[in-house]
Amino acid sequence: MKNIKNIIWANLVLVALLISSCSDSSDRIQESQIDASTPILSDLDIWLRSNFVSPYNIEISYLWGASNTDIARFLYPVREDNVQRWSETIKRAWIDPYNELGGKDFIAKITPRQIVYSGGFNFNPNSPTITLGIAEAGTRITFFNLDFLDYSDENSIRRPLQTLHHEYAHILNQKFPFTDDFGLITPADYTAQWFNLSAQNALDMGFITPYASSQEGEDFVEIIATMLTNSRVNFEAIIDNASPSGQAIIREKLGIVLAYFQENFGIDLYELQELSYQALLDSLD
Amino acid sequence: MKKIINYIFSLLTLTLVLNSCEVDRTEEIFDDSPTVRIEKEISELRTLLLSQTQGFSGVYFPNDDVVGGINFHMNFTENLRVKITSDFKNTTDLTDTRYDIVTGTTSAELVFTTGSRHITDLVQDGAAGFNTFFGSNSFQYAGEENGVITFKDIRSDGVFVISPSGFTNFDIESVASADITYANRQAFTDVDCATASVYDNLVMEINSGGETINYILNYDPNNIFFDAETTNADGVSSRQSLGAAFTLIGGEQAISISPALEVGDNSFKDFILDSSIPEVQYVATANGATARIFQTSLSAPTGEDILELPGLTYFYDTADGTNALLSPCFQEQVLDQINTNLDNRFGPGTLRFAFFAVFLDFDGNCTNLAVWLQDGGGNNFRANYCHLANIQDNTLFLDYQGPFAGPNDAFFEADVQPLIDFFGGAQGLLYTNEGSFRGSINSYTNAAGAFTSLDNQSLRAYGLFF
Repeated sequence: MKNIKNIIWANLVLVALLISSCSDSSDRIQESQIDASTPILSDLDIWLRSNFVSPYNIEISYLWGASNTDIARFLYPVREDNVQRWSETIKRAWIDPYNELGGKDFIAKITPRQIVYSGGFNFNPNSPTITLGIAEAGTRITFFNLDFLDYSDENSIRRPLQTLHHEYAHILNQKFPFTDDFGLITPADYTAQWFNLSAQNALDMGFITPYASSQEGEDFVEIIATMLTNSRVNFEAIIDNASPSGQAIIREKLGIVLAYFQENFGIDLYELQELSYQALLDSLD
Repeated sequence: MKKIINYIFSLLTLTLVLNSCEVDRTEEIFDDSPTVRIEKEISELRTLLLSQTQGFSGVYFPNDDVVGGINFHMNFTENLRVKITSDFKNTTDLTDTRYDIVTGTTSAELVFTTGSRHITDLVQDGAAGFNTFFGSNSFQYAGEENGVITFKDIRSDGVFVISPSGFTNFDIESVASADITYANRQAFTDVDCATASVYDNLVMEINSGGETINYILNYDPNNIFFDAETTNADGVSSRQSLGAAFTLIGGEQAISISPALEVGDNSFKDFILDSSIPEVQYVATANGATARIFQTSLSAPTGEDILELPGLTYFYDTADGTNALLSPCFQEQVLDQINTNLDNRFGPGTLRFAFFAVFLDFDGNCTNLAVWLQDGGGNNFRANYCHLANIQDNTLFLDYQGPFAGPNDAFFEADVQPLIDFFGGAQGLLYTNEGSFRGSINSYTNAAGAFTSLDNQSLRAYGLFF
């Protein structure tokens, strides 16, 4: 009995010591350090909120933030006066056509949540190439060289729209992967040295563009991007420029791409092409 | 009893152990947490920037290793807009763009959040290819002292120092000031290629404590940059890179160098134009010692380096950038002239000079001057020209024989004639070894060398050897 008392007494002292020794003199939780104040909004900011954030939950990030881009590269922010026109162009040539054919919430449901604008070119080190755009984890698309767009030149606007359709197709692929048979058509011809291929060589090998030969995922989305930024006649003419074997390969790949859109989204890609290409033309001066 | 003693002993031991773990958590180096400190810095910087209704003026040295400094004038407003002008180019009109002061990695950061060409031209200039002045649009706040605010640029180790402008009308006086400093810089580099010589050199003479040290200053106007070379009493030469900025100090024309030149205990940074003499001379003083920058004629080198050529393939690529040893007249009369010829013949920008190689041969075969031209798609076109090489009296003679028989050789001959003429000059070329290759964009361990035309001593090529 005496031992039990001693044990109880000892344990009480032990608990008291533990509690006192664990006392912490660190600060109490203080006011949050997160800046939740309303930022200063320009007219442009208000317009972007009305046209992208509210309807589609897409942030157009045009104000420079080092975390948005690779600090090792010499990149810079877009000029303010180039923001609204490009935003209107992508709404017209990307959001509206997809929503018209895929349903009014198509883009709101499957979309990059942030679109980043950058003014200058993104030159790739040790390579004679530039990066036109980047899609990251299906949540963000970054556009480069927006300060150099010429709205009197169809090709100048086609390139970044091609980038947009290219990157968005990657996001669609992340939600609905394409079938393995696509990669089995030209598995041996994919190359990291894609930039050494001329456009004609790429076509003859069964790739719609040289970059399509870099890997099967790029091959798939390059077909979509090329389609959506050209008229059907022009697109057919591009394919017809390939050698007979190249044409056959591209058409086989195209069949898989068309089926992918029909089966996963109920969208006829040729209809989408008509709408998006017309929007490209409408965005020009 | 023994058990009780054991218990007490155990408890005492436990108490000691637990107490030994106690940490004085209140002992901190700083009074505030990092977040609070940065918040205070942000608030302090915002107050400083908004304290001057007539804005700030200052010099930004983006990277002392390769480029010089640019004068900036900035006026910040509460609604996060900033008016900016600079003297990087002759387009000195004010831009009105946005800025923000944000939480950086270790301190407050001033970020120019939308594109002002005064800032962005330094980051990446030109759509024709990668060309940078190593600038940034994000600057870490490093502190303020006597109204002088210092920022640092992490990527290129640049320094941007501003102080109150002292203007009474920022919009007018800032542009006028930028126009003046731009014009001063241009005047400094004006060269009459018909009469100039690369041996009419800028020098810096330092008189300190009865000792005189001379630096030969090779100036690269594209990068506003001095390559300073000095030779000690033992004949050992050394080089130092000095960024330059043509600025106004107390209303007087001045050249600021970065980093400051340290000689003994003296530091020379700001050189003021001496307006009391007709010659152009900039003077800096420190503790009674003086440093002067002025123009003088130097004797030409002996040329004996030609006997120690580090290789037989001499190469220069515009993609590697420029060097102060590539003379402004070589740039203007040879490389730029080739581009002008190409523009006139094929249309502006259709073809550009890209790089050349001289495959030296002293065995009686052709020394091939190969020239590569590039179209807008990055495709290269090579043309080849045969010279017979011969060394006499430490001078290299390349006797031009004509184009090779390839399809491009004769086709481009007239376009690249300035380069053919440079290497094939009747009076030959004087060669100097120049250490390892250093370009404003790329540097390599390859040995570098410079060829000066003895027909026109304002023409000097700089390249590397394979």
